[in-house]
Amino acid sequence: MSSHREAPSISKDPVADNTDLYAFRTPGDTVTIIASYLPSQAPSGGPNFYEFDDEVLYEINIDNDRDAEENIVFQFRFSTVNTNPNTFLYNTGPIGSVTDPNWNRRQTYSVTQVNRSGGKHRSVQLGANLSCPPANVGPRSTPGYEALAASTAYQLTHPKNGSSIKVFAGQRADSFFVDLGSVFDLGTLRPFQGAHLIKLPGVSDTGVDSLAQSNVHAIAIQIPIAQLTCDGSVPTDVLDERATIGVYASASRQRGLRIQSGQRRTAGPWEQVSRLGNPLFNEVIVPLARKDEWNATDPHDDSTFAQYVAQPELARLLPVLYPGVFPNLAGLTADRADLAAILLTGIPPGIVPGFQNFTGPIQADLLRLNMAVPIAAGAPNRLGLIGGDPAGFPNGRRLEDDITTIELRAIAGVTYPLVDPSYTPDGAASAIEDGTFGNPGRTFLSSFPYIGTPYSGYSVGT
Amino acid sequence: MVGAGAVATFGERHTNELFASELSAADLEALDIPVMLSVTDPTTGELEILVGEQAITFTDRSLVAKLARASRKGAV
Repeated sequence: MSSHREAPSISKDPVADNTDLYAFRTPGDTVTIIASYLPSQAPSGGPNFYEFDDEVLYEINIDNDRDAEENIVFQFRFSTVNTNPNTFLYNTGPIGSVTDPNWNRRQTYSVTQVNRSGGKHRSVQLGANLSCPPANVGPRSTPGYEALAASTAYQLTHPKNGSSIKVFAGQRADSFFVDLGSVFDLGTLRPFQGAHLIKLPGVSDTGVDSLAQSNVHAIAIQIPIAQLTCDGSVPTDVLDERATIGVYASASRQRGLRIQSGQRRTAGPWEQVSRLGNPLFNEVIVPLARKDEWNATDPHDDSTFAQYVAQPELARLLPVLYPGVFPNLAGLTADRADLAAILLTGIPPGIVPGFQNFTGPIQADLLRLNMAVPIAAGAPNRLGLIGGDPAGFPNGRRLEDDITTIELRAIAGVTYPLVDPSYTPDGAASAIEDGTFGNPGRTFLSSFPYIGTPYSGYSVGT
Repeated sequence: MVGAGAVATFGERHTNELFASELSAADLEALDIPVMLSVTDPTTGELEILVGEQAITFTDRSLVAKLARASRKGAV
């Protein structure tokens, strides 16, 4: 999955598990960043419905001066209370508002902005006691869920500079789509399984979206571009160095934990246990034995993982799993400078005409967004930049972007001619997909927080 | 005199703190939040205190020796 349960340790700690990260231009010269956590939620998972963890520090980190170190960090801390000590129920009647006495298990959060410059940190609390919406239990418990959730999208004012920032934190429908059951069965892409090394006669070629109707918990924040650039500007020239930011989301736990008699106490500095920049980086690039280490590493130190980008295992597997389909890829032994640019440094000027999202030579897995690229006119192309739409992945990531297909095709060689025009990609490289292309069943909101309404426990499976 | 009495009382408390290892109110307040201790390098006597959002490292070979002996007793 994009980064759902992608490493051994974090797969056992879902509340701290980054699943997806999105960053895209939004109206009014703003950028919206969405960091999702807590993967593969069954919407019916009561009575202890899913929630953020009070013991986890959730952060959205932004580098704006091309050194792969965060300059702006948005920190989110949660606090959970039971309001009724005498019931096993999540709610004892319909929940009509976030102050409804029928709601027993409530969660609030604070948002703090930390600016780091010249070795100094300045922290400003942007908001406190902000309500998360309840889980989408069902039509009797959470009637009018969309309006209830919308009431928890807050507009905050920065107390120092007066800028307006929107935030939301709560359960959402997972936007990511992929055929997990097939992909992890020896790299099967159902539409192409007739060409797979291991034949299964008579099976369907239709992809199965394994994450359809599963929820996540998302933190969304909308920030004016002028608050994200290093100098307060709003660049309009795509080639302007100031236009690109590098983003990653993370989750951290305190070093010490003591459990006794059902009580938990924590102490010590925060230790990063999960992070996410580009989708699928830890999932399909980093070897299993180093995935936990990767999660704990600062992106600034990602050069230690660059070898796996230069020689991706998946590029060697495709010609083996699909014999005769990828002869040119099989012969491509040079380091993949195309993938290193896409994933580790951003694409320098001069590679894709009129585009760049280069953040300097330091190799770091960051989701890079050139904020000078305008919002796509008309419907977004789900193949993003390789589909001719520079407003999409790997220029940031929109909810609609089909990143499984984009990355599959990039690894299969479609982007290698950008760095070596003499290379001819295999015909299959620009055709392969997992069969979930078209984003079946996903709907998004037309305004903040954009990511879709969570599936209700009552309705899923009916 | 109120002032003199206050000084005497302080002197007693101070003596107790130093020689009887009694905890002061300030000490107790410091321990009102979780404090966790781990031996990070027994060969040098290095310890780490986890408190609040900090890790404080210090070296005390005699304390590490006491902890080691206490641990050994607990093990039998």
